[in-house]
Amino acid sequence: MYSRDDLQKLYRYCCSLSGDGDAAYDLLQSAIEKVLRQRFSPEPGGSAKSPEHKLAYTRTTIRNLYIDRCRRQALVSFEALPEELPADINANTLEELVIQQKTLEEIWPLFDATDREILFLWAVQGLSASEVAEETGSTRNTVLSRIHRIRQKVTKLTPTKRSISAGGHS
Amino acid sequence: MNKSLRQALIDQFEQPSLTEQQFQQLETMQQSLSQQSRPQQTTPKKKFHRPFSGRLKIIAVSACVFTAVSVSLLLNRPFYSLPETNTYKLAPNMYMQTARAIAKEVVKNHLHMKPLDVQSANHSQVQAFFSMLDFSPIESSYYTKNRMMLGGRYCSIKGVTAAQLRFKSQHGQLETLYQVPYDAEFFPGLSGLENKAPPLILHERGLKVSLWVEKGLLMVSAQAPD
Repeated sequence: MYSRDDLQKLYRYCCSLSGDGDAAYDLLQSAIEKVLRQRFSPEPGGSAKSPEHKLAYTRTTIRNLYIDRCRRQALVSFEALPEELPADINANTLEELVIQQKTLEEIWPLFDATDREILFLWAVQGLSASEVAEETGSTRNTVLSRIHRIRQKVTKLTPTKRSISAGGHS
Repeated sequence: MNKSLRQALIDQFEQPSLTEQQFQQLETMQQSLSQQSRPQQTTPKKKFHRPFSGRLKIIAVSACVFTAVSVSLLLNRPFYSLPETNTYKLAPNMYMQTARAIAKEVVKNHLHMKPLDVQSANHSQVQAFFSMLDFSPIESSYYTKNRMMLGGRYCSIKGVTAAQLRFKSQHGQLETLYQVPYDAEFFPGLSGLENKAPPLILHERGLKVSLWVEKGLLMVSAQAPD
């Protein structure tokens, strides 16, 4: 059984992917149903290793379901990213950014599902680029490329340069 | 006020929250599904003591069959009768399965928008039309607000004859409400909706489907998502 705290965390992860409350709730329902049917038992003696492992497993299920649905409905295209990295990129690229909440809300619709997922895993779950790559089944370089693009979006789309200060050194 | 991007993102991601109703639905679903898996988890690991083996087993089985035949002859009833229903075994397994099957059927009907058998904005007139049903369609306390009734037609859900009522929302969208007598035998696994439980909300083909039980009727509505 998932606690209310777990459900809330998973729901927010669903929101980060779908960007819509109703669709997120539907996604969460389907994922929980699927996980419990697979007898991934959270009870002692079950196959769950730890509460965090259980949540990570459920997030993967949510992600797979979301991708399946998007492919079926042709909602979004999953573009491949180049493996070559820009010269100035590193894992701390996002750490150095400072932003106003209002500004973030304004540019929020411009992030796609993949951007939002990476941002969620990085900011809320506290995962490193390597851990995000492991969880999303991609390579570290792909995640770093994404982070680079996110940084570009944030810096380009911010109305005033004053509200964002991006450090240039690593 | 400026803050780190990480903090701003945390604040942004933590805005959406599950409602109390959604928590309850998820907890009900988990209970149903965990009940299903419990017996399967314990059975294979348990080692049973086997009192009978070999010839003793044959003798024991023969004795049981002989006793069953004797008793059935005495009672004048066949000893091989099956129980009348075994749906109780299915009930915990089928909460979401049944709900999803109903949602699919209802959405299919909703999208077809077949012509109405009776057209009226008056509930009593529409109610009077459904004289062939073995129940009387009711005005749902959950549903009728801010909607105008357009009429109704006969239909069925899972083979059970039902009333399909059509409404127009305040935004001009067509919505349908299906009413059918709630019977646990026909709708196994939906016992979680009894006792004034909040509606179960699903999404099917882009439409919002709500299921609830009210005054002995299973209600299913199909409408555009909020």
